[in-house]
Amino acid sequence: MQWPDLVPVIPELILLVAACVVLLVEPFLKTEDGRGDKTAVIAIALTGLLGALVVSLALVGQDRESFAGMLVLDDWAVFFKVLFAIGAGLVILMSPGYLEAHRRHLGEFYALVLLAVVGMDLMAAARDFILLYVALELMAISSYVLAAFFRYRVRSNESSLKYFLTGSFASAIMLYGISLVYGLAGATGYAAVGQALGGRGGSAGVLLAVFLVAVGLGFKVSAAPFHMWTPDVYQGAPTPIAAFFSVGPKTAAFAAIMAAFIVAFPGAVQEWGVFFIVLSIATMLVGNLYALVQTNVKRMLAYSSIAHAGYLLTGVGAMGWAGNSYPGHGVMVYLAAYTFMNLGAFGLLAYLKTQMPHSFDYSLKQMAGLGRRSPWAAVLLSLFLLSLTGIPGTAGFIGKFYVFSGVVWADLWWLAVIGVLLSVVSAYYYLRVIIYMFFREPEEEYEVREPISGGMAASLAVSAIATVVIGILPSWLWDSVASAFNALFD
Amino acid sequence: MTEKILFIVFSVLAVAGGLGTITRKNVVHGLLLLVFTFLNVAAIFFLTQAYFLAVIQILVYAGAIMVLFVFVIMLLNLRTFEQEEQTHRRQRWIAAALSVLVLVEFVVVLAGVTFTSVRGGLTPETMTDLGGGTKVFGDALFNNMLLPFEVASVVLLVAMVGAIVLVKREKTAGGATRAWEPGERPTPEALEEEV
Repeated sequence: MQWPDLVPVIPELILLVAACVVLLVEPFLKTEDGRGDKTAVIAIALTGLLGALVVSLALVGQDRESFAGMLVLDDWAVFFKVLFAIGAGLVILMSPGYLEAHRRHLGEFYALVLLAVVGMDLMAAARDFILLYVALELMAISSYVLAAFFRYRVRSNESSLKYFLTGSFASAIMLYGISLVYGLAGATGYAAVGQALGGRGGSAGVLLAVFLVAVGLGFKVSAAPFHMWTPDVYQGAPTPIAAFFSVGPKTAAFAAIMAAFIVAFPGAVQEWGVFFIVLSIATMLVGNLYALVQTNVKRMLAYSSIAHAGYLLTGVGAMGWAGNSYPGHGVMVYLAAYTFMNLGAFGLLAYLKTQMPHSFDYSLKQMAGLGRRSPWAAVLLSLFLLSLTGIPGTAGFIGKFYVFSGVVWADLWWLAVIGVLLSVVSAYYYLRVIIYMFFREPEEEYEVREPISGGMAASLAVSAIATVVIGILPSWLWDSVASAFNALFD
Repeated sequence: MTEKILFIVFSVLAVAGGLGTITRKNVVHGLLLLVFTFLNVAAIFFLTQAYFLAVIQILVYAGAIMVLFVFVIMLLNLRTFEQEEQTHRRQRWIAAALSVLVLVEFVVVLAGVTFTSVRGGLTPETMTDLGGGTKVFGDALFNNMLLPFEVASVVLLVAMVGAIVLVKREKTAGGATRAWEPGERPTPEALEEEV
């Protein structure tokens, strides 16, 4: 038997080992009061992520495949591995205080986050539908458990159950699509499927298969009309985990869509392009319009994440419409920008909840006067919200600019116009939070006990710096995206 | 010819068992009919010379999964399904119409498709030439499909960790942090709080 080339999966192996060490070490951490001191566990998890990050960066420029072509190591995979490692690191940094405040600080939390990252890494690196499906399930099952982490809370239970039922249903639909793809092409590798189906164009059977796979992945990116679960799941999940959901699985699903669809379904590009364009319009509308009427800031951010999925889908739709990977560049820039600004916004909410574990209910009312009580928190949250709006000078602007210029490049200027108009609408609900923080008097005094410190401070600082740096100097990001696309599409 | 007759017999029995499963009010009857369906499906696998699949079907579905069902029924002490209150009576007909529509669409689309895997793929004869279904399956599983196979084991690890996180009874002394102190009854408001 030939030994498979393990170099492409070194980052995942590091994460896997780190997760297992976390699980093994945790029972031995005890202090006098019976509550374990989790510092060691957090350190192991962060070391694992750092190791994965460093190894991934060291593997830039490689071009090799392994496990019979099922998995590749190229700049495309490295880009997402780095992004996921940073995102998960920021989530882990912001979690300890929050979990402590909810009196449920278990080492399993960190292990599950690491294992979800393994799944996401493999989704981005997969070049085969079977591996894609198994990796997606690895990510999804970890997510279901993380959503229910506060198992005594009614909201957390509701969140996890909804996520599990709808998620399993979507997985089943996608799996059915994959089985049809296999039946039609006699292969499961993206390239082999593309070769087998290429000449046949958009016959009804191919279209049905493509449609089912697209629906399954559309669920993961919470595209309307498959978005119903998103607000409830985000609202009931622990806030750092809601942050993780909004950036991790979404980015992984976008990576899978972009890597799979162009290569595997070249005969039906126009059709799936139109499908994603229709989805993107519905998603942008639903996300933005529902976000307008939310008074719960966490729920508002959930709808805003739906809206952002809509902007991203315009780029994916343009890829199909033009039959060219160029509009995807903008999508990847946006994904990187979105990771930082959304993690920052959710992280700030996690900080506020940590300070007021019982009284804070994420309502707009309670944001009033935050500018006076806790100026740093208010300023940082304003920065992230402005970036989500897409104000020039922030990462959000750069992301939107590149996505929409890619859409215009594909001769879909009207789609870009819809996107820009709806981002103007989005300014209303983002700026409303800022107005509450700085210009409204609170109805009652809420005491913020401690300033932002420790891991939370590090996490927010990294997010804020990245948001500003990408906003001002986007060229390095564009270059790495371009090399990722060159690796994938020559 | 015998094969065809046997195939028809087993498929009719399997479909009948499936229909019985979803129409019985008594849960245990439904369960037994489900086992019956699984066994018939296993017999169909035998007929197509997919021996490995047939054995797995009996071991995993008729064996392990059914035991799980029996446990659930015993734990929940279910005898019959309660007549659920029908809240969306009108939607029921729309749902039925839509289901039929989707079914027709799928049948029409899939009837017009030639599956490559059937046309030029692995038939029972080629499988025998290659050394039998089990050998072909094992070769594929541990060569080309090695990585998904290994990832599936990680999925199982996650499922185990998840089950422990979600249901483990937390002890008083030592161990993990509790959500509430033992004996302390959380107020309904605390349970309903935003997280």
